[in-house]
Amino acid sequence: VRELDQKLRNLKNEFNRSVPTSFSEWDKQEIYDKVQNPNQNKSRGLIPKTITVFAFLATALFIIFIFSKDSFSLFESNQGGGPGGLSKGTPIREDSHDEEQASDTTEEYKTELSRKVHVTFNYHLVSAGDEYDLFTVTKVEENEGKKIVTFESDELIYLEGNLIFEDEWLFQFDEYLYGLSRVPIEMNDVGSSVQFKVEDDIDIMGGYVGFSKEKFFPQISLRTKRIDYIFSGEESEILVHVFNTSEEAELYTTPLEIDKEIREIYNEYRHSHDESLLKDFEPIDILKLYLHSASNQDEETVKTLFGNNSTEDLYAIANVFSEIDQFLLVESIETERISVLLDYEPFVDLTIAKNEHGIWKMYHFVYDKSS
Amino acid sequence: LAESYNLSEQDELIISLERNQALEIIMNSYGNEIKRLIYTYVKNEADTDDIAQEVFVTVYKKLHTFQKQSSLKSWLYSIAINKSKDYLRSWQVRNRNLMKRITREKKIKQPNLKSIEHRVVKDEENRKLITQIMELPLKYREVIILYYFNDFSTREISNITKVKDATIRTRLRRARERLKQNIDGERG
Repeated sequence: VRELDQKLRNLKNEFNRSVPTSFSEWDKQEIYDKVQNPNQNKSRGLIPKTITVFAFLATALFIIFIFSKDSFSLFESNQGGGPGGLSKGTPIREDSHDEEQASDTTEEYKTELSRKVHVTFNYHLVSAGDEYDLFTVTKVEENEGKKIVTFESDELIYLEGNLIFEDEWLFQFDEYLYGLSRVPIEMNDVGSSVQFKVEDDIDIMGGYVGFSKEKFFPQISLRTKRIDYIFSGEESEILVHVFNTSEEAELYTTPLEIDKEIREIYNEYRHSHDESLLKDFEPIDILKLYLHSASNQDEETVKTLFGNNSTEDLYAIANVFSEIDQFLLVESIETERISVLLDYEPFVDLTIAKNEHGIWKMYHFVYDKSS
Repeated sequence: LAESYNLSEQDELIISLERNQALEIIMNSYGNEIKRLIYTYVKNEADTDDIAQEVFVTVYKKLHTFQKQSSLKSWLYSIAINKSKDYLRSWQVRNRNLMKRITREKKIKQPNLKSIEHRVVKDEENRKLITQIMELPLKYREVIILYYFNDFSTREISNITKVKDATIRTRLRRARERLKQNIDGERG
């Protein structure tokens, strides 16, 4: 127990780092908002009940008024679109967060929108041509009680998180929420549950489906140029159209076979470390060469196969490969980078990319350097 | 009887300031640690955000009632702990209706949390120890975290949690024993 006491005393910093939360400017802003508008969520006890009833009726009539089609367009023309045009008097969308629907949400996986700074838009005011950061509204459709707002971007937006298959492909942002701040969010959805779905009729998904029994892909990066924001009376959904025309996925099983050619080149390369010997190598060959060098404990050669001067354990990837059954190479033709996806924990972030001489090198990203 | 407490210069300065200024300094100084503390109770990021906000709104409202019977830090911690425990109590009620959803989220989120630990905690043994701490029952987890990671004495923990000092010492001892047992059990 004394030994444990000492361990616990030395554990403080690591413990603090392992708690995945931090106090942000957004938190501060929320606190100031609450402090400055203390009655936002409460009715004032001093207001006589009759006035409260009148206020309630007036609000109800106002909501009915703005939901009629004519008044909706009238409102639109007066207010203009875009997040900058939203005022405090802006009507809020009739929300469906009643008890009945709340219980429906238990049936589906929902991604809780984390409380970050979002690009927000307003359900009533949004119209084609509005710009929200990198996205532009290209279409607003209303059909059979559904409203679909289509946002498109000329630039690729990267969304990083987990892909989960539960009857359909769902997306959950990872703890760093990379990309979420780019996605326009309806102002009433901030802080509530919005489900991110991923269209499923795309090639890359085929690779993923075959790859994992669990149908859970942690920490992948989806690229998109289009999202559809769907309001259907229930909780909002965001359909992410994955942009993958230039991506190809190939599934490999381990152990990788080290063929004769690679052995021969290895025997030459290990002495000279002459990069030109590797000029015809494909990314998978580099990986094979690395695994072969690592199995020979040939540290000098292993080092040369990394593009960055990694001070991390150079054999870490080889160790991981000895424990996995299969992995996926996802090739982005556009960026000429290869991501190695492993259905394994701890997650290894391995990328293979060409260096300035056109030789494929491995880049092993280590997360905990800054901490 | 409440004892008077010698406040540090910083605490004196903070409480002498205008409320908004005081809040700003308190958030800057304690925001991170208060959020971390809340997380160790509720183990959920989104709810941690909500509770942390509630804590600082309460601090803003009640700062003038701070009676200098403890350090400002202890006072903040006691508010955060009370809010977290209130949440846990209400959560247990909501839990029944939302069980399905929680189970599902748990299933999905777990690998992600593990990955965080893998990123930040290199040492496997330390990682296991942290996991073991987070899995302790609340009353033991609380004393371990406040004592070892927030530098409170057992007496200060007693003031913050309104539990007798002797009980805190007993809990601390039992928490260590339990951790030791769990670690030994895992080693086989």
